Amino acid sequence: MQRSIPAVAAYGLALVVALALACDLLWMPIQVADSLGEMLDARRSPSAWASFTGNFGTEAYLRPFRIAQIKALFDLAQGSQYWLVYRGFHAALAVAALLLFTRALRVTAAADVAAAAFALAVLTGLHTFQGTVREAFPINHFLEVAVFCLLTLNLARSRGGAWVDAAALLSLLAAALTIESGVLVWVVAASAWAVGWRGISRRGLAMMTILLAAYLFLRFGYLSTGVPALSERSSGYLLRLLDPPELQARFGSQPLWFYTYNVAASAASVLFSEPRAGVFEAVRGWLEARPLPRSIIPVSTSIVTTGMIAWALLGRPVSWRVLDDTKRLILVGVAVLGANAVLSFAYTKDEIVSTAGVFYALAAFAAVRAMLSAPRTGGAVQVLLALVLCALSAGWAVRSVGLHYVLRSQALKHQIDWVTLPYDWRRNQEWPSDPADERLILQLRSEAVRVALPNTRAERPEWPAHVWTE
Amino acid sequence: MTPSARLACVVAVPPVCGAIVWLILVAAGITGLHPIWRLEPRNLTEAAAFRDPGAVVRFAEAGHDLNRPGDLRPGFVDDVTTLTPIEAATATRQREMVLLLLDLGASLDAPAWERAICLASEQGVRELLESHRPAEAVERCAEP
Repeated sequence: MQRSIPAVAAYGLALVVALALACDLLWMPIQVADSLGEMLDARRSPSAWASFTGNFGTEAYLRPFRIAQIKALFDLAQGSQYWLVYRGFHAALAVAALLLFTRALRVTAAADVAAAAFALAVLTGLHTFQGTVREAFPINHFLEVAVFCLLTLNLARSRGGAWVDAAALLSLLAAALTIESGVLVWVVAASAWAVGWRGISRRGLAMMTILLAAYLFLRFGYLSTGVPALSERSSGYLLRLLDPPELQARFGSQPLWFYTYNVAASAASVLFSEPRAGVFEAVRGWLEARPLPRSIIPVSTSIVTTGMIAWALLGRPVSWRVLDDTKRLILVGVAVLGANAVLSFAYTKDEIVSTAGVFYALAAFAAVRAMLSAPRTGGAVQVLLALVLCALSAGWAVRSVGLHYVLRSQALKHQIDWVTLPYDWRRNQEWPSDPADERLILQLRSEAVRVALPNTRAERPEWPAHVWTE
Repeated sequence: MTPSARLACVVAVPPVCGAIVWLILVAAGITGLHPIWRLEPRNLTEAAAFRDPGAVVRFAEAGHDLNRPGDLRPGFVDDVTTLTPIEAATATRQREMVLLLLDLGASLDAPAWERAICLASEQGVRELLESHRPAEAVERCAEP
C-alpha cells in the first residue's frame, strides 16, 4: 500500500493537467481549415465502411482509417452534436495520452513523482505537443498516433500474453492506416523488445513486422501512392519559409539535400526546440537583435534537458550489458526520434515529430529520476544543482502553462474563420449549392460563433505574446 | 527532510504550481472571470475596436444597430471616445473587420464615409473604403 502512494500522486497530477487540457479543448469551436471539407465528405458518404474502402490509394497518402473515423463520429453526432462529439473525442484522446504517459513512467518512489511532474511539464510544454492539440482535422491523427505508441510501450512493459500481442498488432494496424507516422508503433515495439522489455513476445513482434512489410508493399508496391512532392506545400529552410515554387527552384534537381535538412531539422527541433517547422526562429530573433523570452525559454530549457538526457545515457557508471530502466527509456526515445525524423523527410512540421516529442518527455523523466537518485556530493555543488533544476523545472512549467495561451488564441482564430466563412465563400462563389451542405455549414457556424471566448487578440495585456508563441 | 527529498521538491514544485495555475485559468475563463484576458466589449464599437469578430456577430444578431456610434473606453483610439463600429475598425487598422461590418449590413453613406476615411491610416483599409465610396462623398480631412 505504501508503494502505491507515489503512483497515486503522479496520476493525480496527470489528471489535473488532463482536466485543464480537456477543458481548453472542449472550449474551442471545430475548425474550418482541413476540417469542414472532411465533414462535408463524411455527410455524403453512406457509411464508415464506405469511407474506409473508398480511401485506399488516393493521392500520395494511404489514410483510410482516418476518413472512416471522421465518418463514424459524424454519424455519432446524429445531426446536432458535432462540437460535442469531435471536440469530446479530441479531449478524450488527450486525457488518454496523459494517462498512458503516466502509466509508462512506472512511478514507485517519491523521487519518481518529482521526475513525473517534470516529465508532464516537458510533455505538455514541448512545442511539438502543441501540434497535437492546437488543430483537429476534425480529428487530430498525430495525437492518435502518439496514443497508439504510448499504448504499445505500455504493452511492451506488461507481463505479456496473447492478448498483449493481439492489442499491439491492432494498434499498429489502426495507426498505420490512420497516418504514415503510425508505423512508429512498430518502432516502439521493436526498440522496446531490443532493450529488454518483452511484454510483446518475439512471435508478436514477428507478426507486427509482417504487417509492417504488408503495409509498405500495399503503399509503395500495389497502390503506388508514392511520397509527397516538393510542389505540394511550403516548408521551412534555415531562416524562412519557402513556398512550393521556391522549393522546386532550389531543390527540384537535387532534393536529397533538402530531405537531409528536413530529417536533421526535425530531430534538432525535438532536442533543442529549434528550428521550428524547419525555420531557425530563435536565431532569426537574435540576428534581428530582439530576442524575447518566448524564444529564449524554449531553447534554453531544451538544451539543458537534452544535456541531462545525454548524461543519463552516457555519463553514468552503469553497465551497458544489463540495461536499467533509465537507459531503456532513453534508448527507446532515441529510436523513436530517429525514425520520426526520417519520416519527416518530405517536409518539416512540428506536429509530425509530436510522437518523438512524447518519447523525449519520457527520456526526460528517466534523466531527472537518475539525477535525483545519483549520490549527493553536498556543499556548493548541491546548491548549484538545486538552482539549475529549479530554474529548469520552472522554465518547463512556464512552457506548459503556455499551452493555455496557445489554445485560447487558436479558439479565437477558429471562431473568426467561421464568422467570415459565408461571406468569403459567397464572394469566391464557393458556397455549396446542396441545401444539406448549406444547413450543416450554418449549423456549425452558429455553434462556433455563439461561444464567448477570452479575447487574446486585443493585445491587452501585451506580456503573454512576449512569453509564449501562438 | 533528506537532501535528496529537498531536491525532489525543488523539481516538483514548479510543474505542480503550473498545473494548478492552468486549471485555475481555465475555470476562471469559463466562468467569465479570466484573470489575463478580461476585455469584454460593452457594445458593437468596442467589439470592433477589440478585434473580436465573434462578439460583433453576436451583437448584430442580438439586434444592435451596426451604424450607431458607441462609446469606446480610452486607450484604443487616440483622443476619440465615441465612434461607429466601422470608424472603430478603421481607426484600429482592421481591413477584415471593416469588411465584416459591411457584409453584416453596415451602411457607408457619404457623411459616414467621409468620417471613416479620415481615420484610415492603413493602406488596405483605405483601399476597401475607396471601393465603397458613395458617389457624393469627398475626402476632406484636416491636416494633422
